[in-house]
Amino acid sequence: MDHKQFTISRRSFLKGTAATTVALSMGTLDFRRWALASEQAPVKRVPTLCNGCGNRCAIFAFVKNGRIWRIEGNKEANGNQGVLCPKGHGYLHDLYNPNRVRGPLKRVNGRFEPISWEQAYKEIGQKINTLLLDNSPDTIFWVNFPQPNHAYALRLMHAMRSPHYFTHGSTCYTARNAGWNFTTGKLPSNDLKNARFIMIVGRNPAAGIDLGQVKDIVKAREEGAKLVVVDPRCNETAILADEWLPVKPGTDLALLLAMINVIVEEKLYDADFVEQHTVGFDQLENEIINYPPQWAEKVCDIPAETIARVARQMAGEKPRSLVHCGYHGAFGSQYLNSFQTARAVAILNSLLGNIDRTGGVYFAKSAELGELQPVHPVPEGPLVPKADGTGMPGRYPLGAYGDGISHAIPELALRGKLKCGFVYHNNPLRTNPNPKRVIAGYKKLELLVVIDPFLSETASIAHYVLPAPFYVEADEAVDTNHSGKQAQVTLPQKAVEPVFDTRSGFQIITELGKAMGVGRYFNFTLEEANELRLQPLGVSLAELKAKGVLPVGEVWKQGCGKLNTPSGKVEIYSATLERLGYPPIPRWEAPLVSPDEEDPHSFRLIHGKQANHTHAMTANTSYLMAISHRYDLIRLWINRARAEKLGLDDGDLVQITSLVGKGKIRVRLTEGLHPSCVWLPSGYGIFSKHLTTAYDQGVSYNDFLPTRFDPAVGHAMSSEIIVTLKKA
Amino acid sequence: MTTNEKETFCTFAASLLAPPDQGLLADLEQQGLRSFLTEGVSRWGEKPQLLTTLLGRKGMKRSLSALTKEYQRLFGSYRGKTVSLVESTYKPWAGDKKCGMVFAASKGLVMGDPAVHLLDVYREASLEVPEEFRSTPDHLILELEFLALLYRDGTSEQIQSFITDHLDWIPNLREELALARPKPFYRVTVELIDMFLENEQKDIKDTHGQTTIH
Repeated sequence: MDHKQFTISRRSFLKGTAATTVALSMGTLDFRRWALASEQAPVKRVPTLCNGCGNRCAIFAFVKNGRIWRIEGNKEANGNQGVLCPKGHGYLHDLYNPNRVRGPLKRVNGRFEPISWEQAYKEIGQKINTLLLDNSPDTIFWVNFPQPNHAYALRLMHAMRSPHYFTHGSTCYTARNAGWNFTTGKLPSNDLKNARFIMIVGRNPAAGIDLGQVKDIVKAREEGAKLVVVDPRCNETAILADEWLPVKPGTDLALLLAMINVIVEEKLYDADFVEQHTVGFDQLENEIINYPPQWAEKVCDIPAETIARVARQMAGEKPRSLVHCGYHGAFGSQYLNSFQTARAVAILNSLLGNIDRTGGVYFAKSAELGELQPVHPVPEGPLVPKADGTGMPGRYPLGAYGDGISHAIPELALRGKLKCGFVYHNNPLRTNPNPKRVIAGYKKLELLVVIDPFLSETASIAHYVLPAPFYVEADEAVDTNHSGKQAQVTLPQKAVEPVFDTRSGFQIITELGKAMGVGRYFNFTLEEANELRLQPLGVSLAELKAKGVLPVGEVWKQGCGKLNTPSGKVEIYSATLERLGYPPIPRWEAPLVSPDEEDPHSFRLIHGKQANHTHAMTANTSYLMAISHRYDLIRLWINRARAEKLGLDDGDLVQITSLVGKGKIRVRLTEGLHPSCVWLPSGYGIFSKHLTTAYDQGVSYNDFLPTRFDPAVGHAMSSEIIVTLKKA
Repeated sequence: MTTNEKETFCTFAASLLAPPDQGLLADLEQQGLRSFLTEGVSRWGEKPQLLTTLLGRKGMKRSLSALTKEYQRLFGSYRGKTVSLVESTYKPWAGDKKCGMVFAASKGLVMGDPAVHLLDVYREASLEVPEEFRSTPDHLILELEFLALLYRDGTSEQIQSFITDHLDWIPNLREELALARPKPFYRVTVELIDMFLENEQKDIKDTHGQTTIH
């Protein structure tokens, strides 16, 4: 062989000024010897936050040899009390997933090409400048799932003079929040640990997942508390319960009105509390006579005597008795009557006299972070209100302006009201209703920038993808997400060096600001911003870095004071609602759509979470997906009797069809589901081919859900779906 | 093969696995390279026809765009499931039994033990890992380049240790690649690397770890 007669033009990748292997010791080169030695390496503990769901539980990340080594829950955090769920452990798998986005990408002729950060910023800034030549600033929007940098994302939109900062709320919780806000002025928390009686309507903290609440429920049960779960499905929390009430989906309001009826008619309410802290009890008495348990039984399928018995039990333990404030399930954003259902929950609690009482519901202490001004100027802010109509009379006056109606973005894009979007830590193509419509809307945008660790469905159609770090790879903004009986501040911190070429969310937002010509509002470092925000709270950033979670301010004391409502009291009767043209007292309102009782193939499609997944976010984590397969979780639940009438056996494949979509999935036959509905676990139905683990596994309820807006709040009404089922 | 020839082979093989460019196409047209590889393949007991798709007339006429497209399809980072050229992905992530992560024994991840080990090795050898390999210091390109350095400056013991510890996964790579139905260019590239290493390992076994690889 004569190797001198040819050359190899490519230069080596490995480089070194004085590279030599001669001095390399076998102790280092021999893998086994190195492995034994590396086992003795020190382990570093870094307090930070999980990001496997919106709860962002406090954790300690242990790091060895530069890699994540193990994690533990942080006992100091109100939200998780030292406990972690499967997602906390499993989602970290994706930190080292080779299919993460490894660096900024730009779409060129339908394909992604790598681009430098600086060039990406430059081009994004140029495109926005061009866009603003012919369009107003309010054509720019930002949407995100809960994340610690929300204040800076909002600042960026306000710096651009756009009102369009959105959260995912309209597909999750805005009806619940509105119901509470219009009744008690604010959404309270649940003092589950100290309750003697707990009724949970639709919420499923054991799979939802809220570890602190599960711990508190278990503790309360050990102390003798009764637990009643109201849900069309015998969910994971119902397993812990004394009693499961399999309510007909969409009729929780009827059940609650009947319980109020019993408590009012039998004078079981807390008369002193009602007298001192509520307005409109007289009007309630007049209205509630329409809803005796015998009436409700026919509507919600819970026997009248059960309704009356549970109401009496509930009242018998007042004030250490509560109806869970709710989240997504039943009245977060599910039905046309969700707002009134949330109002009924709030009113029922107030009749128990439990508002801001131990063992009832209480207004959690939340830290008021400091402002960046006067050190840094405040953006002038938007020139016009949001185009989605949240908070506007005649449109969605009960909607939450801060959250906006994020599932309206595709509609606004199709109408040319929005032209440029930033999607951060969110995947609307998979988590919003009616994906065909969502795709059409987002594709209409002239500029779509997605900030994500993966090529999600939404990232897959972006013009630019900016790779977000995995949560243990970056320092981010201080946050207050672990509020409770004492406020807490938290800090997401970097535990390991970024595996790929990613930048922190804070860094991306501030660098985008500079690229978009509003850098004067982002002339600060994360360190400086965090210090300024902590300043009024009397704790130092150094202390927070060391502990991850710090209590701040006064400890909650029981006693209902003046509420944040126009009257300062619980507004059983709301003059505001009357003025806006809505029922001032909750009254029965049927769901928007109902299955055809004459058609054996007709069902309402409802959905919920499983403990190992958060929407579409975790589906691609192979460890968590393996749990789904191991326990055969990717199935549609159907009542056994209904299934048998359709000739279905457990595990059969069925075709689901709705107004807007169809799909196939295997069924799970069960007695634990109301016969009028089928139940689909959320988080599946991934259609991004880049997400290779989750691709084409199951279906999503959004595939079948038409684009709808509740006429008062604007929420998605995500259980107002009628589907037909046939054996495939 | 002499150690010089082995160094050359490893350097050439590493260049075949990098994103293709005009330089690579020009290299492949050299008669000297053809002779070098033909001789090597014959010594390994294989027929030189194997090289046709790599160096033959069809190969000469191949277009850069087609080769790039195939490279992206097989090994590109952003097109869903691709064939991994990274050692860590073929092995359990962490061997330390004290590791508390649920995925410690999982395969398919980057920055596993081989990667962490090689970072230490490169550091001690004063070698810099380029930015594009920050998460994959155990990429086959870097491993072949490092092996070339060992053939140039290292001892037989070092070479033997490195091949045994870090290049034992190439048969798994061949299997993965076959599932992706590669065009002949990259199939042959990996086959050549496998043959080379197989012969090296045979020498190691034959000599029971004695230092007679040359």
